[in-house]
Amino acid sequence: MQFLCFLARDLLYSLVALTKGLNMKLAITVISESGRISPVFETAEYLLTIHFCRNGQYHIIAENHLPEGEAEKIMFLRNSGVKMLICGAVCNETLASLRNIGLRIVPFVHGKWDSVMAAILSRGNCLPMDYIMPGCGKHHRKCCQYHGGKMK
Amino acid sequence: MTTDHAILESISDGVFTVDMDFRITYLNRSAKKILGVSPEEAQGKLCCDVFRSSLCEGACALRKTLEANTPIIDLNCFIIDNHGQRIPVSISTAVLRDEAGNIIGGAETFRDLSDYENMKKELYSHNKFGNFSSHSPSMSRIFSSLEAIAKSNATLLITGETGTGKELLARTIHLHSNRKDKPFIAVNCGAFPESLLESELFGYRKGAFTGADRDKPGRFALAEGGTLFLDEIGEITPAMQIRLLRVIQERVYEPLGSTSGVKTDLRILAATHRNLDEMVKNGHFRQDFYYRINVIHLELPPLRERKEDIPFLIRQFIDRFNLTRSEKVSGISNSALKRLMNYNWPGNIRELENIIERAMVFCNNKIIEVGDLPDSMTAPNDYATASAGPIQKAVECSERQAIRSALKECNGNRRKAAEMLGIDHTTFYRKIKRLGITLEMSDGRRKH
Repeated sequence: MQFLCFLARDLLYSLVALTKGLNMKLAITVISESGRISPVFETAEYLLTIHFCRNGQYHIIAENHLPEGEAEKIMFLRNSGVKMLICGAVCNETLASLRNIGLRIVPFVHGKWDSVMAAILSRGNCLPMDYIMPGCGKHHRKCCQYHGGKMK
Repeated sequence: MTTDHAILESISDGVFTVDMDFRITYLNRSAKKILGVSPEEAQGKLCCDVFRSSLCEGACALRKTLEANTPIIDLNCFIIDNHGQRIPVSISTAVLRDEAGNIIGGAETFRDLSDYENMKKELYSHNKFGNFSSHSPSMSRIFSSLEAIAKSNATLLITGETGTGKELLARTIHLHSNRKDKPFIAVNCGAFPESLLESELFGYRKGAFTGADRDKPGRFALAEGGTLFLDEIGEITPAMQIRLLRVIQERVYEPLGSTSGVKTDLRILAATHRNLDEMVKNGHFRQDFYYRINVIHLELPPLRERKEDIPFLIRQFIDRFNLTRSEKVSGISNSALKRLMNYNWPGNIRELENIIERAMVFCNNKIIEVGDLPDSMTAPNDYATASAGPIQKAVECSERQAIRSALKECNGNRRKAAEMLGIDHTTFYRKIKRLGITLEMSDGRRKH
C-alpha cells in the first residue's frame, strides 16, 4: 500500500511537470514492433527518449536498444540524462534504484506510448485509469483522491 | 457453475485463458490471488498487462504455443504482482479449440514457486545464509558470524581468490541487513582508470569539465541509503585511497566540479583478491586506508579447499540454467562428477559455473557426461597435485618413477608390480589414478 502511495506521489509530480510545459527529457520503455509500453521494465528491450518542449510539443530524440541486465539498464538511464521514466511493471528494488538516480517514475502504465502521451496532455495533470495496469487502479484512485477525472 | 468451472476455481495454480488477440477471457481465483488482479479487472485486457511476466516481451509462451500449435510445459520465469513483488513461477500452456477443432485461443497455467525456492535452499544447504550456502567446515567460521555482520553498519573487507563468491557474499549480507530495501550498487574499481573512477564514484556537476553538459550522479548517490560494494579495492591508486578514506571517515563526498559536499548514508563493503597486508608492508597500499576498510574481515576459501560443496554447486547451476531450457538436464554422471572433483579449480566457483553452463550446451542427454566437459578435463592428469609444494612434488615424482619402473620390470602386470612395491593392489590403483599415470593396454597377463 505504501509502495503504491509513493508511486502516486511520483505520478502527480511528474504529470504536473509535463503539463506545465517544462523543458525536459523523458524516457519510455517500449516494444519496438507495436509501440506499446513494455509490460515489465526488467526485461524491456527498447527505450524511447522524448524531448518535451515548453510549448507542450514533444518529439522523439532517440530509440535505443536497452542492455540486458537490470543494473545495466539503470546505468544506461543514468547516463542518458532523462528526468522521468514511464514504464510497465517494475519490482520494488529496481524502483528504489531508479529513484536513487534522480528519476521520477511513472510505472505500471500500459498502452501505446503515443496514446499515453496524448491522454496525459489532453486531460491535464491526470493519467486516465485506462492506462494504469489492471489491479493498480484502485490504489492510484485512493492515493490521488481521484474525483471525476481531476487530481486534487 | 459448471463442473469444469468449479474444478478450475478450486485448484491452487493460477489459470487464465485468452482469445486470438491475446485478450483475457477467463481468470481463476488462484490467478487473482497471485497476480492481485480480479477477473473483472482482467477481462478483455491484454494478457501481458495482467500477467506481467519476464517472458511477455520477447518470449511469450502463449504466442509460441498458438503459432506452433504445441503446448509448453514447466517453463520457469518471474512475474511482478501489483505490489511490486517479484514472484518466481512455472508456466504451462495449451491451445483452446472449439467443437469444430478450430483454434480459438490459448490457456496458461502458472504455479507460484516462492515456497518451493525457499524449501530448495533449505534442503540443499547445511550452512545457509540467504543465497550463500556451504557444506564445508572451512566455511563454518564465516557462517557463524554472518548474521551479526549483516545487522552491523561497519565497513567489511572480503578477501579471496577470483571467483570465490565475494560479490555474492556482499549481496547476501546486504539483503539481510537493515538496508535491504535500499539499493545495492557494485563498482569494479579495477575496471576504471583513476581519472574516470573518481567521476564514476562521486559523479560530477554540469560544467565540471569539457563535455560535462549536465549533472551526473555517481555510484555513491545511486547507493544512497543502501550498500556500496567496492570490488577490487586493491587496484585503486594511493591518491584515490586518500579520497575514499576521507569520505568513509567524514561521510561526505564532493562531486567533481561541486563547491559543496554531499552527506552520505550508506554502508561500504570492499573486496579484493590481493593480499593487502603484503601490499601495506611493501608500501603499495596505504595503512590508514587499510585499517579503515578492514574493520571486519572475511576471507573466502578457494573452491579446492571446499570440494564437498562441488556437488551442491553443480546442482544449483543445473537448476539455474534449466530455467531457460525447454528440455531439462536432470544431473551429472558419476564419472563426470569425479573429474570435476579431481580438478584444482584455479578459477574457483566462477570457473565451475562456466564449465557447467558449457556442458549443458553440449549435453545431448538428460545427464552431463565426461564427453560434455572441456577437452582439458576429459583426460585425467596432475590437476589434483598442481597445488603441491616442492617437497610434495619431489615425493610424487619419486612415486611415479617407482611405479613406472615396477610396471616395466613386470611387463605391465599390475598385481606383480604392486607386490614388488610392497603395497596392495587397491593402493596401487589409487596411486596410479592420483599421479595420473597412463597404463598400457596390455596388462602383462596375456600374450599379444
